[in-house]
Amino acid sequence: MEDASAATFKVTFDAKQPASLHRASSARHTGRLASVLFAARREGTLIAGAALLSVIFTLALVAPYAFPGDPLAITGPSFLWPGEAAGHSLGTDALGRDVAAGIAHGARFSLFVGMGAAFLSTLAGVAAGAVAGFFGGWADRSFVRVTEIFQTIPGFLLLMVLMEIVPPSLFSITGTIAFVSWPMMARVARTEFMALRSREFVLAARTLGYGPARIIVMEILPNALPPIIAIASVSVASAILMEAALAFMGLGDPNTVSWGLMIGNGREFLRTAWYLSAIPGGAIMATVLGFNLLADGLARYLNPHRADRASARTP
Amino acid sequence: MVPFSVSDLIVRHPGAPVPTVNAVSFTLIRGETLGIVGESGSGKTTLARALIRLLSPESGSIRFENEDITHARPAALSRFRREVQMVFQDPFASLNPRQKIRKALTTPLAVHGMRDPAEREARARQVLRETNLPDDALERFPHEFSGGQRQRIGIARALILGPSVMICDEPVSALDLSTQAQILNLLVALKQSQNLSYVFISHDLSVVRYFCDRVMVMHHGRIVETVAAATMEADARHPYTRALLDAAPHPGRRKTRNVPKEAETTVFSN
Repeated sequence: MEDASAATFKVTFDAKQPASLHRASSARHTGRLASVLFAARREGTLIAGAALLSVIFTLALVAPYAFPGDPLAITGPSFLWPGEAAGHSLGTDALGRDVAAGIAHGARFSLFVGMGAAFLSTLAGVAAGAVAGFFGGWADRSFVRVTEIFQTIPGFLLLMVLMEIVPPSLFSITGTIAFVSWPMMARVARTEFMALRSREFVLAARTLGYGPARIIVMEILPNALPPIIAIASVSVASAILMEAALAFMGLGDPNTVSWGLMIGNGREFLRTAWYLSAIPGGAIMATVLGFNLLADGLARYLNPHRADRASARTP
Repeated sequence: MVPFSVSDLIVRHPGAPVPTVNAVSFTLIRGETLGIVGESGSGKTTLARALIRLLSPESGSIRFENEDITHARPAALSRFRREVQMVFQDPFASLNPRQKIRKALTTPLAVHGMRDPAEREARARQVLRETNLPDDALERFPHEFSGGQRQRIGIARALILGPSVMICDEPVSALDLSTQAQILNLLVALKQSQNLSYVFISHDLSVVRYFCDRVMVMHHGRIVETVAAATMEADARHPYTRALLDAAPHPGRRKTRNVPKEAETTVFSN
């Protein structure tokens, strides 16, 4: 069945894009480097996302060395425009704090919150969705009820209410964002597990006497991973946005520099010193774009119906 | 001893108004090959899945070697799982695409308490030889094999726990004709060497006549007739069986479809 669909795909590919087919076959002849370059062109979104993110990760890694000391310390005169004075390449804010140092240290904070929240929500979401999707019955019914409660409350509103209750810190922000975002991941995991549990290889595992835990972890999970990885990548981006919005509204940790906090502080000076909001805004945009491109690229790359995967299969 | 003894089995899919398997009774004799034929939707696969306890019957009983397993809990089914195995229809869907063959063949042994990895490996190599697969198959993934080879792997996996009964659900219908013959010959050889009994499901009468001892004809979830495979053509009495026989392509006969109108109406009014 898979072979048949691969074959039809090839036919349409043939008919519509003879030029690219020719490129593919010529790449195969000219050797490894050419085929790597060809793959890179086709996996463009994946490469672009990874490149963008590697810049931001490097920034986050070098922050303590490139900008030692407290990024919230006053280091110069206020309202220096980017490029106006040496040593303050991205200018200074209303209190004379270095914007470049804030961006670099803020990258650490944003990436930690984004990836931490995505990791926790993926863990919780996949566990809940796997149990609901695999067992069905009352486990599934109660799962659907719980996620419906989350669906009826706007996620960000819930996040704001929770942040009023818990004291803001790196870990509480990460945990709270994970708490409001796990249902999305759980629904994806549930759908995958429901679809896969009646596949013949899962039935075979049951007739061989495998227990439910082994079937979930060893048989179904590896086959459910591609969409889960892609969604996890998107949820990093959405967690970063949530954290920025929280900080912007003053609900974040005021003693830790974050991009959202910088935008919020720059808001009052939007007409006279717009760069104070625009620079951290650009940093958020670049990071979110990076994770979204990565998610898109991964979804395409991990799709088992890719043309080259199909042709690599022996008939 | 009688491996399987089934009486008044009723299996209903959730929400279905009519049971998919309706009041089915039969016995499987040790060493025989029992065929189940019928059109698609007649309940063959559902019956097979209820037999191997993938589905829970609504009522009736399934006894395996005089032990009632109709509603046995998974822990109590452990011995049953070693004794009864299944070969699935679609060799592309029945193997986990992300698992090497080694894992597919050795995990069942670990689940059933074989602790020594070397022993598991040796057993895996043994079933590969018995199914005429190369030893290096262990290192490979399912997509590296052809359809016929994958079905051999499916049979090897069913053999790994040393079963006495194999339920084959249309094991050759997804394969091309030359491969079908190879797989059927393999099943015949294994029946001798492993002392197996088969429940063999098919919609292909020529395959069933070649392969089976007795044939049960299923129609709308009921068994309408049980006949000896060898004399099926002469002995079949039920109009549905006659219609199936007439509908099958027959070498040396001019007209291939010869279902009289009256017969057809009798068949579907049941």
